[in-house]
Amino acid sequence: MPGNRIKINSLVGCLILSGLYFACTGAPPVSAADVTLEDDSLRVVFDSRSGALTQLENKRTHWVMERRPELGVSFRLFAPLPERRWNPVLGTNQVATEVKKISDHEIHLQWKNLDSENGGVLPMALSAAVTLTNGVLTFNATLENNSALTVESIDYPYFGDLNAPKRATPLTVRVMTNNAPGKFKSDEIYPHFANEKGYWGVFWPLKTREVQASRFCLITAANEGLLIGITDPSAPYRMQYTFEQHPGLISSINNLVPAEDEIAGTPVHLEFRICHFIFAAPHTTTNLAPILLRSYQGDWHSGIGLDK
Amino acid sequence: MKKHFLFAMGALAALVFFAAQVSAVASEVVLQDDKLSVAFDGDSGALTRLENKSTHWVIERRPELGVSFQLNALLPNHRNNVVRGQKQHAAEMVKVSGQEVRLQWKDLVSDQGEVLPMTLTALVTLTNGVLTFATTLENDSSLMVGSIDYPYFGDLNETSNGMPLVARYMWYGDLKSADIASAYAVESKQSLFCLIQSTNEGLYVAMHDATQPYLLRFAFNQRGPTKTETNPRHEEFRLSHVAYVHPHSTAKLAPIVLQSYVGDWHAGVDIYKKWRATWFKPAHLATWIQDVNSWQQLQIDSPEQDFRVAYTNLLAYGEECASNGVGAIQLVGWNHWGQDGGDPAQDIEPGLGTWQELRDAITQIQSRGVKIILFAKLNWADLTMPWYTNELYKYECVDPDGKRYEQGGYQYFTPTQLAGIGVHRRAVMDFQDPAYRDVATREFEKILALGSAGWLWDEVCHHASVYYNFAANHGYTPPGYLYGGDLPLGAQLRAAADKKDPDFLFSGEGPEDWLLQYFPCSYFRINTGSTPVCRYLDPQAPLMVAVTGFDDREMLNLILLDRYIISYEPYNFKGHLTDYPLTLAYGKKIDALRRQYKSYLWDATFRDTLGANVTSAGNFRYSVFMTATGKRAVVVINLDFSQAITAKVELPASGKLVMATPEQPDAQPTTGRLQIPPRSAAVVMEQ
Repeated sequence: MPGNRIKINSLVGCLILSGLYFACTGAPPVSAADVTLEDDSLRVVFDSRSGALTQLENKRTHWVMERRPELGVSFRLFAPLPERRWNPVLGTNQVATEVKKISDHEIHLQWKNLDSENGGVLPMALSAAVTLTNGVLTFNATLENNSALTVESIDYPYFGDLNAPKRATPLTVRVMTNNAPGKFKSDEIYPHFANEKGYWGVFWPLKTREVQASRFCLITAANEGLLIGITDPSAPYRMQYTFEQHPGLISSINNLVPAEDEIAGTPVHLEFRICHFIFAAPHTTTNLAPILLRSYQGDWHSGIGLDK
Repeated sequence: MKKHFLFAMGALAALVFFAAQVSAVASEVVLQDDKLSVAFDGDSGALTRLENKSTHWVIERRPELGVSFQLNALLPNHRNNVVRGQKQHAAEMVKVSGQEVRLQWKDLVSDQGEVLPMTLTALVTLTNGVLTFATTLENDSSLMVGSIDYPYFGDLNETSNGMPLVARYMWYGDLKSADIASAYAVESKQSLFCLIQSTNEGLYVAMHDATQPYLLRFAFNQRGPTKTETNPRHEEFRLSHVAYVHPHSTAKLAPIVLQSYVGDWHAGVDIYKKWRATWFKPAHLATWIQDVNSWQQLQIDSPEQDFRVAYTNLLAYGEECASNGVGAIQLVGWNHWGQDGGDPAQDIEPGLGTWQELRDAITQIQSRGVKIILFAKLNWADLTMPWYTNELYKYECVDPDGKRYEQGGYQYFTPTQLAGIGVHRRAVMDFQDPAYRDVATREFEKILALGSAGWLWDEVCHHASVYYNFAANHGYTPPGYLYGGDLPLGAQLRAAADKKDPDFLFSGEGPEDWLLQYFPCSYFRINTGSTPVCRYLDPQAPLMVAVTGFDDREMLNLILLDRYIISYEPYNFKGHLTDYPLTLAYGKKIDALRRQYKSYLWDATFRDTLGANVTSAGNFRYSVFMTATGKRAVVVINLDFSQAITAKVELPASGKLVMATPEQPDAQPTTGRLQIPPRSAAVVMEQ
């Protein structure tokens, strides 16, 4: 949020450095504290302290989808208090209790005793198992809510810095209408990003697409793409694909995203996350619908083919 | 038989038309002057022909498609019961004078064959090209008449160039444009006039009653699916007075005025402007809002109870404004339950601090030369609040079946609200109800008590989907037209403010033109396609436009072009001014330029594109200002994001010209040939 100005400014130096690095090598470095899964297709990196997803790369095309580690986010959830609805739990404020590579294909992550913005520490545990098998990255997560609060929503997985393959490459989101493969709705998300929510109720331009209407979502670049979706079409609750452009646009007249890594000292980045509206009652455990992700080469036809 | 008759008549009419000798037949009654000619059928009273004599635009062409009127006499349970003019014979049709015809229809026959004791009388006058329809309905029946469509043009035609007609009307600081080929209706709740605009001529059609007595619809309908003789395709245009004339009562309908003009929308709006001057009473304005000034909009809380900026932290924002020359803060979400929560209550939000803390913050900020303008809404009652359950339900609007109307509420911040879950829906309050107007006034007085320099009534421009309230016991015989309550409530609130401070500023979100009499400072949003009709109508009105982008030269250039006030709104009005320094810096340059050349860019008369010619191969816009001494200025903006343009400015009979820009404000001589970088503006001034 804009109020976190110190935090944002502290990021800028890192961003400039990482931007310079990226300009030279394409992918940011992996530190010793990182935990990595990779195969021939994908490489995904998690920060061992925060559990944030900090890098994601298509190894075949070298599209670095998640680029700047400092913009990585682990998760976010909302647990309203009886006397105050605004009570998010921000992954950026949590320390993971476990980020462990179980095998070459699997990482376990866990966050416990979540520190909420206005409700103190909440007796909740979010556990995730991330697997990478034959280029398919799967996120399975479980929330143990031992608090007296209802958890309305969880954003997971959470990509804090979704990038186009190249600065000049447009990105488009394609989703189905009523799960009909022949009926696609396509919208640009880069370099133009039009806000689709009421400006009064958002800080940053925002788009959401309903998972129930499209069990997968294609993020398409010129000749490659990323498919993300659910494995089980009978998901028990509502979900959304969410795109959020930070810090905003050059102008509402042209809806252009700033073409640099930062504008006036503020990072420019596109967030992408899957929002699960779980409404987890107090003292319950909820298994989140598994989310799968894989990259593909070719146009959106290739993306659909992979879903079959 | 009737079809054959129509065909024959159609063929005859076509022959006459193609011979360009459309003349009045014996049974017609014709009014004409050197500008217009209008004919009525002697039997039915239908308007059968209308022509602009100077341009030869035959606006109403085929007599057989002429219609006199239509009304809807509602049966019990509000079922429709149509009375069509085609089934009536005029009881009287008298040419009272060379300029006036009186028409009357009596004992009207409905579609159901029932004869209704009603009399519709129309006085049609033509004076200097101005055609006026003054209509009265005597309803001696036991039925309520829901609507009367009069005058009724059964065959609205394009001009001779065959270009499509568009409807232009005022709404939200803009002159909207709508294709009339599809069914469309302009409504008097937004605009008192509708321009039927062709390429270079048009027809001004207006409701000449600015008090909002009832809803008038300027309704367009395409009829006839095919181009057959029996059912020819044609465009209908009718003025539908949704007047709800009670049983055994007489209603005088609002005058309808038509006038043709040559030119684009400026010529049509000029006609409105002339009439507007006869009734519009400009509001008193404090000095500060009349000078070059800019605002910041700042939201500090929402119904999701984020409580982002405590009252005690507001001073930092005020100081930031003061140090950047920003003269006012529109403070949003200061009231209980934040923006769009808890309406219409105007109490403070305990989650942000105390009443005294807010009062002190306002005082401290204003002492630094930055005005506080408190945002509020009085239109709705939050259904989640006990106040609604206990009291406000009494003032809510209901439909003909007695069911509550609702406004859907607005979504804020959390995924659940943004997905439409848990949104605060609202009942729609009845402004025609004097008791509710008193409730609203008491809430407004809470704003006055806080000592701010003004307020901004957000959504002052509408009542959601509600037009009429059908509830009983609201202080009048239902139904009541909600928009008719806007002016009385505006007057009541203004009176309350005047007791405390006549300089207290009333501002609103896109108030309709007549509401500007009480809400003279209008806030709205624009794009490159917006038409600055409010600025054209009133060159000095305080009109304000939002700037949200992080390097928003595009919006700022449009603001310079149309002399709008800047409203800085970083992070969709949730940030600090300094969150977007590039935008702030350019905005300051624009305001500095306007201060330096105030007589040209601020105090002058805005002429939009009239009075100069600007040409360029690039993507540009321009506007013309005329100073009090007759000197002209032309603002040219380059809308292209990456390409510079060359523009040639031509001012007829101009004196010596100089040029300045926001970045190079010192005037330099120019021939009028300008090089304008991408995303930039230049001003040419006549010395």
